[in-house]
Amino acid sequence: MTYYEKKPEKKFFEKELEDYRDSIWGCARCNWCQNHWGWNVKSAEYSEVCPAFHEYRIFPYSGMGKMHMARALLEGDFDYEDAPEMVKFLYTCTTCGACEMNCQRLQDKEPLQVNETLRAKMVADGVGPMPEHKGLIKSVKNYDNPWMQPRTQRDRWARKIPVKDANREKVETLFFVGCTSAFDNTQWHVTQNTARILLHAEVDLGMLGKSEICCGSPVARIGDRETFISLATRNIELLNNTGVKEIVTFCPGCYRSLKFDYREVPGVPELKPRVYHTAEYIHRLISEGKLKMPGKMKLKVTWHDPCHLGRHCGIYEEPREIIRAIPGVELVEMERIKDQSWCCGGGGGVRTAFIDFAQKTATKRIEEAKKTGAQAIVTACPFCEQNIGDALSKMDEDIDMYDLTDLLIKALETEA
Amino acid sequence: MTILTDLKNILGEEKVFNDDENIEKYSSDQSFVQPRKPDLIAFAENVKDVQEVVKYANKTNTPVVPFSSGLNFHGGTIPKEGGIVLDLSRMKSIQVDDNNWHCVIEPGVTVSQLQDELEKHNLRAMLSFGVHPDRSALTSYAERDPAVAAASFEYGNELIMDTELVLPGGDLYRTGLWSAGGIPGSPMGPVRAMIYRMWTGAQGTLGIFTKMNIKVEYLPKKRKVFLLQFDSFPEAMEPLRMIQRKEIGHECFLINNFNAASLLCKKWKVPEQFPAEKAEAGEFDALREKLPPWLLVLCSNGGPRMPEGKIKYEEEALQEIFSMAHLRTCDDGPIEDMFLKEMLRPWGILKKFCYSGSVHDISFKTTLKRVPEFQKIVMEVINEHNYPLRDIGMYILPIERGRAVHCEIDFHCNPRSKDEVEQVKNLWHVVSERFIDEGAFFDRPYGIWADMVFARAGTYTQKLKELKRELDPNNILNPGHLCF
Amino acid sequence: MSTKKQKVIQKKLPREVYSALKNVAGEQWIYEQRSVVETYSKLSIEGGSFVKKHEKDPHVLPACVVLPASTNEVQAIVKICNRYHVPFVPFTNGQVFCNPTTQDPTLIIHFSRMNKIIRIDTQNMCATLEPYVDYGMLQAEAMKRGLWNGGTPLATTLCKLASQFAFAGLWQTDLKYGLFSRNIVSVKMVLPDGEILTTGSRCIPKAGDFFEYGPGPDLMGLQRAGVGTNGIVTEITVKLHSWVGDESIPDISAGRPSLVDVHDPKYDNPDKPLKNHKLFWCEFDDFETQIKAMREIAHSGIAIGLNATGVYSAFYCSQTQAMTIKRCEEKFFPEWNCYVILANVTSDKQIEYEEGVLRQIIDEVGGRFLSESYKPEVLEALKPWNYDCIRHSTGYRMNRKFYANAWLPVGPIDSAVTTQREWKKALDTFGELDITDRGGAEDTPFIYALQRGHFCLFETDNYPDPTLPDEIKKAQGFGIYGAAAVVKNSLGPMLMAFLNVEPFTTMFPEAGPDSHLFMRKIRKVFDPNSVAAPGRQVFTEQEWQQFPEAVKNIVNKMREMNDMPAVE
Repeated sequence: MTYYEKKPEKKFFEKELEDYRDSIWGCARCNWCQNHWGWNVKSAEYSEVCPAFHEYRIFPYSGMGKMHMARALLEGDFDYEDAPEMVKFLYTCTTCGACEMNCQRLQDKEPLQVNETLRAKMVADGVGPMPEHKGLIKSVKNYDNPWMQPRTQRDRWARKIPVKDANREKVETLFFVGCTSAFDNTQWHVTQNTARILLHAEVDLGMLGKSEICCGSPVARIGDRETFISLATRNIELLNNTGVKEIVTFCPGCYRSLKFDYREVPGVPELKPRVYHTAEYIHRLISEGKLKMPGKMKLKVTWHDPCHLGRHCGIYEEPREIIRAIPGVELVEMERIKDQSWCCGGGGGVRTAFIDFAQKTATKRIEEAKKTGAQAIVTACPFCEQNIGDALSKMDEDIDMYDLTDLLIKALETEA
Repeated sequence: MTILTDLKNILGEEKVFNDDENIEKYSSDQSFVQPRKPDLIAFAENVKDVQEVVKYANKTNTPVVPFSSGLNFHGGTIPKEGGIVLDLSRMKSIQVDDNNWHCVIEPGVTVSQLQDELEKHNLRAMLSFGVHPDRSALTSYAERDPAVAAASFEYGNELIMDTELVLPGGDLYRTGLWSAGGIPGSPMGPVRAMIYRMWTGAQGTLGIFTKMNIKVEYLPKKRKVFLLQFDSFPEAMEPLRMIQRKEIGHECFLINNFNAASLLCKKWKVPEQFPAEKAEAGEFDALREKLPPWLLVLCSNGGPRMPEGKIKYEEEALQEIFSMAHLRTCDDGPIEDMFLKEMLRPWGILKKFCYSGSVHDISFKTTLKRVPEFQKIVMEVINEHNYPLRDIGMYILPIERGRAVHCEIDFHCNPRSKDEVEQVKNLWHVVSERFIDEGAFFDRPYGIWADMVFARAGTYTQKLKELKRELDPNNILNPGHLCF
Repeated sequence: MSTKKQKVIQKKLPREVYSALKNVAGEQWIYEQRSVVETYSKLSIEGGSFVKKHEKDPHVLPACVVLPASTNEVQAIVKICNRYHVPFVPFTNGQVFCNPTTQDPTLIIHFSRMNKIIRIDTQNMCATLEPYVDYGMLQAEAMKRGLWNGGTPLATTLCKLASQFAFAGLWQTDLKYGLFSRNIVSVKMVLPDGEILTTGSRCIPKAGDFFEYGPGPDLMGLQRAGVGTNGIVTEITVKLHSWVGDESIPDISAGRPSLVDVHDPKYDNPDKPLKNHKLFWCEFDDFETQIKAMREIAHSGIAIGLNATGVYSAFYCSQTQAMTIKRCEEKFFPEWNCYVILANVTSDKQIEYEEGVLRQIIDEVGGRFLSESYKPEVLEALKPWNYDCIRHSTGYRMNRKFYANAWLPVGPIDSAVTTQREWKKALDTFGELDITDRGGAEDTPFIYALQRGHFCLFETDNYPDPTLPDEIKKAQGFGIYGAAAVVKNSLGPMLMAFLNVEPFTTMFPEAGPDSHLFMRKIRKVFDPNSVAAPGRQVFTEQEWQQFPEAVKNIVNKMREMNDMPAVE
């Protein structure tokens, strides 16, 4: 079959390596999968964008390497037993999508999709994922969350916040909290901030509480398609049944899953409510004049684009405009931003399986942020906050870490 | 004599000589290099002649010294181990490619012949300041004489395109597009992009160029010279850098008052033979007194279309620098006219030979910033040797917008005065050594400089020697020169 | 014949060699796992490696990959290779000529750890780089200092400058700045015998690194374009020039793409070129007028860049394969064209003057400018060039095809006509592999006017399907035929898998003549043990004798088609 014979379009979660055959044979080795898009390079130091290649310097860690390994595996040039090391190469990828961005842009090819499909194949074949991921998958299956937490603990963060129970009453807007921030009490400030901000703007807000289940993002990224499809199916039914018009989530992983990944699951109904990230939603509230920020602070901050929010889903400007709208806050940019943003190092299961690499990657991001002269790094992703926050706590750096909502709450609740 | 007979058989009676007059003529030049007589002189009239001589020399282990005009001033054609001087001056073909601005020359074409021919085509060759009008143009390019427009990255550098040469074994070889077997027309060809460079700065030790295709440029319809005066060289450095960063003009150089006075001296003529005859210096002395210590000469050339427009915007850019740096111009119509002429036929400076008869230059490359360091060394050494500062000629040529500078420092002596010769020889030697010790780069390490430079060049020297052994196993091509 | 599911087993280095290498680089920086060597085995644009992959040829796999961090480590590695007679191949991106060249277990020396800009000398306008520094990195740092390197290759800013030293280095701004070969000050190389060579002024103590020739006969020119066979560049000093544009390239007004809308052309369309630069697109009625205009422009002394793109704009400026094909089918881009890059290097009024000259020429020859009022949609589609003309990022955009063969002859601009004629003949003889292959035959070949138009380079390409070995072989046939055709027509094929790599060096003795015999001598001096990608640049007599008859026969057949005698 040649390129010109139209292939039947498959959804991502049913695609196999064979479906990428032309793409993986055609990898042009242009090396954009490792490098900052040429027009946007501002320094030699920050000319690379792939954290794994940057650290390990050999091609199997790059998007291009994945294409080549996939080709060899597909054509039977080698098999798992010949290359047991390949599992590590595939999973030392934060799925940040920098490779996918530049390769799609230049070559119309998909190295991250190929890597995720490879991961899926390895999981299906019993070779993947990394041993460290197995507990996570088991937890998702058993507890509907990846962190082995009982379902009953999921709404503890909201004890003092009057969010409606969407299981019991009809609401317009559903707050999809996500597992990490629901269970990790160091993240509760974000969930609480979010709820308070939305309520402050008189949003008719509800949540599913204990009956919320994992969006499936962690297992999707790790390659357990079966579990992901099951969660997607359940979530679509659950969320459609609430009758809400819109869903707000501040976890970019959840956002991507609900908004884009569920569309790529074969044989499931459409998710009816419209999905928003908090940055998008709050941006709208500000534009509509529903959030006034009397507070004034003097702070210079830099925005870290979470990969799954920015590069994967295109939310670049909203958080920046929110920051600029906060009186007294100055936004300064790092070199690698938006589509070329440097990953925090925590995604794609890397923080679970390769914590040292994840932390090194975060350290590099902190150093880049420091160079802007900012007093704080602001982001809007629980994983980024965890990973960068952990790295920051080990460094002697005079720079703080905030969630976007932290700034907003300050601005909303501080007197002018 | 067997060689004589053999070569007469190979080339013909009229091409081979061993009479005393000729032998004497080819045994020395005006440099300090020890004279040595060749066994005979053979004239080549075509490539085949060159090949035949070289093949014969290999068979008989006879040195062959390629010779074109002998006007190199650095002993390049003195047959250090005797043998055959192969005179190429009868190979005089010039073929101009009007369409593509190239010109194929043979070794016997002189620079003045080349320029004359090109002017008929509204073209010009980029020539070196101080090149003798009778010097072989091909040799001038092969020996990397820096063009007077060397400041211009585009027009004054890398002027060689294709070449044809005879290898030390006698085989014909071509580089550039020419090596594909047809017409010349590009320095890159099927072999290697810049392989021809191996034969440059080589004094004919690795092969003998028999033809060369050079880049030529349009003959500007409008030109304008700008002159700036300075009391010292360091004062000129920043303005020069500013001008070059703005890429203003093509030709640009600095000369001191000695050299400027030589150029302007109407009574002096460019000598035909070297050493030259010393001439009366009254006019020269008066000029030297009157002229500023340093002159920066810059020439703006209008393009083939709308030439005034180009000169206008360049002049405006220059005026900005003038006012910013508070520079003094030297507005003098006759001097400007003289320099305009020199840009195309840049040999007037050779009148400097009239001062004492003989000139011994030290030519090297360094960075603009370091020029004063070398000036300081000169001051120290001339003081030690009681040589007058005012009798030093200096020429500083920025290369490629000032990335490097070519420096020529001249010492003058009367060849008939043994004392003067001895004084300048010692002085020249000491300055050369001090310069090389301090990192002056002699990219053309000829004569006594060869040992000083190649002893310091490590692997570079070693690989040159190995190449020479591989390409010229009998060491017949101009032996005793460079590191060979 | 592809044998699916048959495994391809790599060879391994002898254990003592591996141990010795490990001692040099450290255990962390040497790899011989199967999946690692796989990623160093299928190259980008070398059809040969693709065919070998399809045919399950194990010799395409290196035995081992080592990553040195310094010149000293490279030297130690090369000395080990000499001691044990292990062939090595230097490797950066892996786009061309990086496969093992023999059937012996081969070491890949990958330079990804040597990626620093060692120094930028703003006074003397040059920069010294390690081998993994690319054009993007250098430009970013130089532009901040009011300097730039003079251009970027169409194969994108990701090309490593040290690799370009080994190959070609063709820029869009060659009109003013010349090829990369014009822009090298010096190299520090580890020679194949393990010695360290520095060239130019740098080789003399205390002299500094600013002048490119000598001392005496110039060895840098000899080393250049040696396709990695004459030595490994561990430091390269390149020239810098005045830069009058922005300190960094500004974001374009459409913002940045995300994976949701990455193929939207708006993200590739800067409204205007960089500060102090201007780009003009000209269209002509026929090839003859185009050539005439290009010659006049080149000779007028204006502009920093002058090139023609032909069908290739369909690739560069189309974000998907579908768009590329559609634009080719519709002949969306002008068939006879050129683009001209102007810059205010000397004065703010320079562009104004040069635009006047350009308009006079276009008017005189009878061309047209693309503009807001003439084919604005085409001008809009060509907007990527606004930035790409300075820092080429969309280059190498083949979308889902494969760039398997190119003819790249050099010569006077009239030779464009010969190139076009011969390319058409080849297409008519063999048939095209893709609609885009007709570019260069039915419209303009890619033409670069080099060094003020003193000579030009022409390019025509084949784009086969990488999954179809027969198509790739056909593209290779084009390449071999092309080598013969351009030599027959006295053109100089400059680069790519033609005359400057074997078997073509030996099989076209017309070049030089007998350049292979000359280059054998050079190889003997620099690589006495035949360890540096042996036989890539030139065969020894013994290697030539062992060369497969079948391939000789194919090349001879192509020679015969061009009325050239067979080579024994």
